[in-house]
Amino acid sequence: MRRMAKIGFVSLVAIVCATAGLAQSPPWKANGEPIPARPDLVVHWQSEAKFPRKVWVYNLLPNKFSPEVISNVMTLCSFTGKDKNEDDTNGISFQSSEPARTLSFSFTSGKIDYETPEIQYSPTNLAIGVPSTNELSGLVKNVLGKMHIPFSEITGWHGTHKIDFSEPVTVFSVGDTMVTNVPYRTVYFRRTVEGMPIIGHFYRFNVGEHGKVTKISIAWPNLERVKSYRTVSPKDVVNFIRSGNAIRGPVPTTIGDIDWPSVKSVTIKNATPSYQINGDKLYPFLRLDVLVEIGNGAVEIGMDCPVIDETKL
Amino acid sequence: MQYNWDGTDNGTNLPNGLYFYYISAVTNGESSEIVSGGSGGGGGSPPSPEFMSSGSSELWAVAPDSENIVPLAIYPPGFDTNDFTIFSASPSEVASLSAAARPESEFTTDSGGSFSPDYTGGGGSSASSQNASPAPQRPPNNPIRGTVGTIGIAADTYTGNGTNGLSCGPLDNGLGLGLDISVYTPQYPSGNTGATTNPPRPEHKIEASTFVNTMQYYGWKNPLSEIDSQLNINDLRGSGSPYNNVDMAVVMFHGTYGVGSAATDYAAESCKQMYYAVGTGGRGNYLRLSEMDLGGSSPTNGLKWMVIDACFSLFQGNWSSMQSHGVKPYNGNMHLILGATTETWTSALKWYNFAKYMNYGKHIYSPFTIRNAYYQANTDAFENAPLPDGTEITLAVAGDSACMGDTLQTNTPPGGSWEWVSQPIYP
Repeated sequence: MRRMAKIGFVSLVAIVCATAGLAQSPPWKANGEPIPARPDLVVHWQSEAKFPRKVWVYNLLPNKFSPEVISNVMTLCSFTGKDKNEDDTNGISFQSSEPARTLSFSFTSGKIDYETPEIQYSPTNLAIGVPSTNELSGLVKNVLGKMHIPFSEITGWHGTHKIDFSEPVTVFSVGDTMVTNVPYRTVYFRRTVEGMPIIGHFYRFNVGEHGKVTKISIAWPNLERVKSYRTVSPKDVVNFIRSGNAIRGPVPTTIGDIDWPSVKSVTIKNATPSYQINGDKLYPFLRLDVLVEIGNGAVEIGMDCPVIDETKL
Repeated sequence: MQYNWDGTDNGTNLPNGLYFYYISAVTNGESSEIVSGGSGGGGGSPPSPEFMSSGSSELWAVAPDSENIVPLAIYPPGFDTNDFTIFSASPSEVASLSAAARPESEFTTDSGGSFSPDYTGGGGSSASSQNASPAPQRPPNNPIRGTVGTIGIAADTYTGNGTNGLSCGPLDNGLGLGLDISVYTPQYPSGNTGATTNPPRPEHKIEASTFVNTMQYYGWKNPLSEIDSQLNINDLRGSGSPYNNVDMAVVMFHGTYGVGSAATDYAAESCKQMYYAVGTGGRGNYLRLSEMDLGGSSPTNGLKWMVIDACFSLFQGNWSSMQSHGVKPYNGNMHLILGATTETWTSALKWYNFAKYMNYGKHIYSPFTIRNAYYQANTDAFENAPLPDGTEITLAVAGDSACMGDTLQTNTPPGGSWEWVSQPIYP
């Protein structure tokens, strides 16, 4: 019996691995836990989002950043030509020794990475001149413009924000007094393609003391349309959930486990056609914000399901 | 290829730890390093960059006669993997695959988790012995010399009352006048003085076993595991806590914090603080953070690092309130307390990542600091996970300033000055 189970399991492994490239096993299925089919499940549709009539699969292509972009970012990060330590067809990189800072452009992946060493602060040595979020808002367009990233092709995380902010905080205990330090603030956003966000990839840059950029982590490959597909309808989405053609994300630990067979109802609050990077492609799918009634309360979770008829891929 | 190791460095005794062999072969008269690795016992050289994998995919293995998928990297260089099924996938793909292949009921049993390495080098323990899956054949010599240290784990699944969860509180505010502390609940974010319901968290078992089994693979012993009824709330109170006798402890609870006009806790110097629900049969009781006295006096086995995996376990405002009122849930031996200032989210993968990153690193042998391993483990676990729009996860670490750079391999004695640090890890 064990051997039989192994064969079945390994077959499943083989199936998943063989199809991980694109078609038969859509990448969104790896994002969470499969839900079982529940043909009788009550599903309410409350999303006001409108789907595009069709969506595209894209190829991700190299981005040989223009000399203007490279020059802008070099200036932004205080590098000169003397700091260049690699320059070939795959990319270009810069390095300074005091302090040790690195800036790299990968043409093959379209990535810009800038790293600086972490500064050690103390109650008597606090960060000075870190811009507030209000001040950062004015900086963002300027920084993105230097990288030729169109403001129209980004989106934030909260509601309709185009960008969002976060910050690490340190609170030093000095006797009974608390001394707070914010070493930098992070600007983060997602790339959108035809208005659809690429999930799982938040691009960001940190701004530290005196408004200096201290970190950049952005990937902006060029795109090439491969093929378009007609999108499904909300009714199809409801059927995907009922037939188990969806996955669900984790639950917050304030909430109990979700026993899907005993779920009372699912309310789709928001449905966002999205893209997921899958190898060298962008793959379209639907990300859902749902409210799940679990009997002793409700929990808001994320779910993924098809946005196109994947049986025709 | 197999290599018999005598547990020494050319006859010189080594400190306890997990070691990776360097094996070189000479081909056509030129030396060519074919396997690289590092040392977990300190002082080892990092592996060559060729060993680094790119992207988020890594190699996974399924041993003969086993259904468990484990990272290929957990097998020591030279281990015979000829009969293994080996494939490339991202951790999230494997998590999904494991979930699909695992019987639903297994989530609520004591069996090992999907990321539990079969190869456990640290000797028997309660959690390890519960893993019914057969282990692959070990290499001729165990590459772990002795043990690295000890871990303790406490978790509550809140299943003592079936699917109803456990009711907890109300909690007297310490004045003995029948007044109760108002705490945060998802239904009452601005505070509720009534009893709270703590829903079942059966996932805590698989999360706990994932962490324990992965740590055991890297040579750690687990002499203290208390799940559900095995845990007495008093085991976490005061300086006599048995958790002060292990190097690292992990507790998994529902957590909340005092909020609102009735949040002052007169039982703890009138501060505002955090509370963790600990079940006793069909009921729950609140453990005050102030009741803990974390830190073990033994330099070799005393508690240095504690993870409190509970929502709001280190909520910023209330941590500061505790500090400013002189309420310190630790003593001079404690190094770091790791927790969260927001809600936390379920993931067995984050525990596998945490253990791996602390002991080994991510792609190459380069162990992270405990603090960065904690952050990166969570970041990687939730990178692609569908979380509702606007969800933010911010972790927090409170610790002695001298110990913020502690690794499992090297740590610094506490200096007496504490700080609290938050780090947004999602998005």
